[in-house]
Amino acid sequence: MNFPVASLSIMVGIPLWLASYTAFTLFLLRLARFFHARHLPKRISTVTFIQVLFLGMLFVSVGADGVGNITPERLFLMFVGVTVIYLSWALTSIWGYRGFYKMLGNLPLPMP
Amino acid sequence: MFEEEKGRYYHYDVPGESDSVDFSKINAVDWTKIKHVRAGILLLMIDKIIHCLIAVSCLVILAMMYGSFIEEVGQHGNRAGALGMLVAFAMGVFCLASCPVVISGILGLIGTALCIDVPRVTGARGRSSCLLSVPRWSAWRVRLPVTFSRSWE
Repeated sequence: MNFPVASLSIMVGIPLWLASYTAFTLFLLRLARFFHARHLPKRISTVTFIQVLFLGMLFVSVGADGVGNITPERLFLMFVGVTVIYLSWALTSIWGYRGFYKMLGNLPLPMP
Repeated sequence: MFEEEKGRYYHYDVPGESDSVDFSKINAVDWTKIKHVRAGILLLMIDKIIHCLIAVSCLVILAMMYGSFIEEVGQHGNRAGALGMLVAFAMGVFCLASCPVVISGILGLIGTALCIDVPRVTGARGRSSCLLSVPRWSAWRVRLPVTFSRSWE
């Protein structure tokens, strides 16, 4: 069977990435519930919403033209778009983790 | 932090002001359960900062090669050459970013491993250790002002 390794890795990698992302998001929600904090789930939802929106825009724009009709110029723009999405994910994740870190950093030192 | 929560957690030593975890009941044993979660979150923040640096460097490289790319595509109409240039760019970014990605991956793995153990201290009330536990909707409730207090008593 001549099955391309790249397709196999994508078929395995995307579900694995989705599962790990979902599991870690659920963990963050649980940690937020531990603190009874309502702003932390809001931050997590915002990060996820922005990513879903951006990735949806990317997939729709690629699918509208058809994969076979991608020109080099469009591919260049796609690289720029993917990099911007990547940057936005990293920045919004820092924003989300910062809330958790500040929350944990405010815990009092234990009494001896 | 939202307006409604400003100052709420900074005054943890006044339990009446905080409708949150009863921090006064945290002892040294609980503290050891929480410390590693904070370290994990810090590692994940460093991990995301590395990701930011990789993304910014990718944007810089793309901006640098934009001129030569347009020249390659526009003047000569050499689309195969332009596509080859982009593929080479992608491979180069993967090679150059492999070191930060490995560091970031290690940080992410350690940070996630540290954070998986959610502390079950005073306010945790964890029903189970499973991540997929049922949400406690009472923690998400909308708090309405109580206007009919027991003034008749």
